[in-house]
Amino acid sequence: MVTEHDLVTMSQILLAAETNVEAIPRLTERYAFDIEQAYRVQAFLIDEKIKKGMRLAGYKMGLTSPQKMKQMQVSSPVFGVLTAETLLEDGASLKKKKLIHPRVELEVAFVLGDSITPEDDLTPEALAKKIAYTTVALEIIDSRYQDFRFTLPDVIADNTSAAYYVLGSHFARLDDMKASLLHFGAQLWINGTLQAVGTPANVLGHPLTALASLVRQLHQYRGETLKPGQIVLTGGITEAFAVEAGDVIEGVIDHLGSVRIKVSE
Amino acid sequence: MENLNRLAEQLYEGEMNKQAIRPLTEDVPDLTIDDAYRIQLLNIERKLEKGARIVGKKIGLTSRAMQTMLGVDQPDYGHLLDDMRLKIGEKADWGKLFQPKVEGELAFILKKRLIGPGLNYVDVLNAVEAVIPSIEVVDSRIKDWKIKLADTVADNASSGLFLLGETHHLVSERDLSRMGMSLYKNGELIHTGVGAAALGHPLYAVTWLANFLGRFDIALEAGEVILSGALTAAVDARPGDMFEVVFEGWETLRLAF
Repeated sequence: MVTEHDLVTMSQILLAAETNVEAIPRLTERYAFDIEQAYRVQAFLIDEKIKKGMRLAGYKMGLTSPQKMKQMQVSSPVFGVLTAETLLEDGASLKKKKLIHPRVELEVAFVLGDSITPEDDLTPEALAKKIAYTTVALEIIDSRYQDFRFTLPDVIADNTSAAYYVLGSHFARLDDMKASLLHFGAQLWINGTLQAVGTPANVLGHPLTALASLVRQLHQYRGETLKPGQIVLTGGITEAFAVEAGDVIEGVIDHLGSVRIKVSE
Repeated sequence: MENLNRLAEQLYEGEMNKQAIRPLTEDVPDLTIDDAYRIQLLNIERKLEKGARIVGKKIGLTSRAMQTMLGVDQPDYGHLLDDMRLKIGEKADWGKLFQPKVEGELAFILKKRLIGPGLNYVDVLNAVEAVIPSIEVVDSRIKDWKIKLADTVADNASSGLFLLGETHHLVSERDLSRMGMSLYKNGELIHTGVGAAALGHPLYAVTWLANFLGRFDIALEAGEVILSGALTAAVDARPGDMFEVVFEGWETLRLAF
């Protein structure tokens, strides 16, 4: 079994891979660790970033699509931590050389208006009232593992491949909308080509279900609750696509607007 | 410091006597931006002692056109005082003005204190109470607007007057980066603009300001008005002129001189 010391070492290996922009072999090849321990590694990794002056801004959900869950043979999604410093502005340029093998995902993002605890009513209807703003987001994920291949504990330890994220320019309120978020049409454009389409229903059946799952898991693995003002990325609506220098990526979700990012060398 | 006091005094006297002055940078070519902000603060403090009140801040030089003109790559900021605010329907009093120009922009009212550095636009979003269409009348106490960056910074970022619209809006009502704006002078369309002209998004401009002010340990306070930057080039105003600024779907602001 792994020791506490091993968990810290694993977090340092992952941080070094991120800093050096160098993929590493899967940690599960060297260490036998379970999901609970993987979240401890993630927590050590985030603590280290916070010690360096970064700030916790919210959380992201991963493995939320039926395909991905099937592929990873899991029944529940996973969560990672978002830092304030990795939020990019709409239209920003992202340097590819800062990343190992980045991929992009189109997502629905929430900015919370209230705290949410596991004791709260976690039905979509009740959760919708605790959301201040809803917007379209692009998430740039970048696994620190070779070939983007990992087991469930690996990806959890690696902060669910979190790298950068960018929110759209319209911070909408769900209450103002006549249509249901669930069925808003979503489009991912890369270099003027429509790469993928879908609806937020692909995210665990509903992005608010992903939020409910986050609330429960955050409590289970961290003893934490969600706070007002925090950002939640609910998970990819479509599969993730590799990005290359020179790419212009645009995400559009009906009623929520658009978001764009450029990738440079 | 003595030098800064002297330069602040020149600006102050010029303003009080309604006598535009030569650019400060003509006398002190190496005036730094930090010192220019110190001059600005000296004169703001002087006005506060005389009973004025700070009601907010304005961001200037947000458009690429203005930045190129002054050869700078970042915005600047000035203080908004209570006596600079116009009421709806009130005429801009020519007695106080030098060589005013008119701009349309979005103003934010804060509900929470923001102190940089290290803030991002979601921090700002979470601190915003409302967004309001506004007209800013910029003005320069420097003769013929012959300003370098340090001159306008010292001169309170060329602030003059400002007018806020009647209706407070929620940020969620619109995509602020796509808000269309048309500026008419005496019935003629002069300029058109869009929210994205302010550093990509008016909220990004406020984020810049909050982080920039962190350097001086100055906060954006709850309740303050933040003018987030012009959406078009500024338009010269003369006595008798009538301006109309249309904020698409929201409000048309009118200001007479």
